[in-house]
Amino acid sequence: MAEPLIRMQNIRKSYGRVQALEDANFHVNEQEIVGLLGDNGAGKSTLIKVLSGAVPLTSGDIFIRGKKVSLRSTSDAIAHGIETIYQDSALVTQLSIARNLFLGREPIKPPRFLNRMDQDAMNNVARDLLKQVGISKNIPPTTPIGSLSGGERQAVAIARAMHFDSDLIILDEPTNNLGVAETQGVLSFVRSARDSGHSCIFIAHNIHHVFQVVDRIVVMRRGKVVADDIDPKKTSVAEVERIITGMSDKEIRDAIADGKPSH
Amino acid sequence: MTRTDTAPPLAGSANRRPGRRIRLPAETGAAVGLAAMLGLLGWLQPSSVDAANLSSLLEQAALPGLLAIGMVFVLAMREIDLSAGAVFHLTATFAALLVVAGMNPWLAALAGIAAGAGLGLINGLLVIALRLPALLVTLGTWWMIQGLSLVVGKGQTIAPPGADGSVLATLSGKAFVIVPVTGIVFVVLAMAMHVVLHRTRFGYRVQAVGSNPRAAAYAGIPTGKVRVLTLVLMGAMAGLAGVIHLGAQGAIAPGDGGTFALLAITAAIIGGTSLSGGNGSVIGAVIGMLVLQAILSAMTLLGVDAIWAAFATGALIVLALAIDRLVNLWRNRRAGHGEDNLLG
Repeated sequence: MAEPLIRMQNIRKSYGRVQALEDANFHVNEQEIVGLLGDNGAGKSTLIKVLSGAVPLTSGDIFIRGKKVSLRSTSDAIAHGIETIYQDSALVTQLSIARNLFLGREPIKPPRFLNRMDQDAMNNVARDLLKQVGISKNIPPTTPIGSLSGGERQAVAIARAMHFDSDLIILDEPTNNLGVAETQGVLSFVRSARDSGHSCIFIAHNIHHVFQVVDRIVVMRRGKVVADDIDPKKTSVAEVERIITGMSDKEIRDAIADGKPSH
Repeated sequence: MTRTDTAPPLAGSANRRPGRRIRLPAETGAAVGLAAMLGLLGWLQPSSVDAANLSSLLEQAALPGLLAIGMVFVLAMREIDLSAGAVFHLTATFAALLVVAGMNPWLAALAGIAAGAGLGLINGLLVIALRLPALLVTLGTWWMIQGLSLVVGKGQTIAPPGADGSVLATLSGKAFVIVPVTGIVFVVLAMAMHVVLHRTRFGYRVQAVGSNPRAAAYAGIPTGKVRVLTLVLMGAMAGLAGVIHLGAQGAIAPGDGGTFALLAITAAIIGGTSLSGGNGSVIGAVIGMLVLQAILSAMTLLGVDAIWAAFATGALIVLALAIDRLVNLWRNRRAGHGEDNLLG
């Protein structure tokens, strides 16, 4: 089998005495959408934060196309083609669409020492991108992000990752708080990102959304990857739920009868 | 690898309203306030709005106004610098002592500005190292710097000998007979810093950090560096104001600039800079400082005792804060969401 795009090996992360990740192994292939599932506290967010450079790992290795990399900061990860879209923190609401698209990568006009941004270039690229993502109607690129809907904001964030040619786009709860139509829009957007050559990690609490879009499901429990080759076409939602909770059918029924989840 | 990067239209966005409302510039309130205050002054005493008096209004606004320009950047970053007035005083004292010690006044002035920037750097590094809001850090450094000023100045007025005749005294002069040089410096710097805030990558990153620090960090913006640089800028502006004060007055007295930090914050808020960060207006802060000075002049004309000036300034801060809050609540309600406020 070919070397995957991303391989994370024996990743450990502890916060003081709390082990958030214990020897987690995880990989993403080229042009693949991976659904990352797990209960609260299973270690999904920590794994993603390690991969996006937001938190340092305690031990373990990360390989990109077989080459070992060290991701010490978010800018390191971005330089390696890993773009993360956080639910609440992807965009700066008070700034315009164009400025958000270039957040952290603002083009500079010559002479460079004056540090002036090339606003015309930013607006032109933004106008084209908005057209491509289908939210161009009546929205100039100078509109503040705050006046867009949740789905439109996700679209802008994904468009940013695609424009800068990221190899891996990590989506943290992209369908949270979205209506049905907007959710479908975002899901089809994720598919088209894959079809144009990008890989994605898709995290969502709503398992049905995950099933609709991903090629492979990975489940985490208590800091470990407990299943990493679930085919959504051959597996039922109920089975995946059982893997997530780590409980048998009987245990789940008992837990519901007791009114509280057992451990 | 070829990537086409096209996507189907996003469902649910087709039927949005064209929703383009007329947006008043952030400076509107301050401009209306200034017009009203000048109208009041003219009504109280017509001669108070003649050219000579207006230019002296500009001169009074210039020094705290320089601090207000720096403060706009700090507020746009969702921080606040309480130590700016103390930095003003210490840099003026420092430069005065250097002149007393025989240094060339222009070199002493440069050293004063550098000292201001250095104090800003210390504030910035403390904010980064302690991971505390600048509000708390500068609450401490404010007292430290104020104490240091008293120690090095021995609590006395320092008037460098021959300050009147020195080159620095150019600053106390007037160009074209009537326009004060300090006022010109103030207006030119305000225009330059307006461009810096709205046209440069640095200004844009200041606003990004103030609007959503986590998004800025996740996008790869070095937020720590932006914080430090902004506080250095604030310190340098306070230092510049300090040495200009020394040049124009020929002396620095204990208590000079004591209200400057609060005046600067008030002027910025009156000028439309939001305390919740993310945007700011340098031009607005200039107008805001003129409004403040016009109010203080009006109080003098009305025969209000000077001891009420502090009370009035405080009341204005509360009023400006209330207006800032109301505008924010109104905007959030109009946008149909209030979560940004809660995350504050």
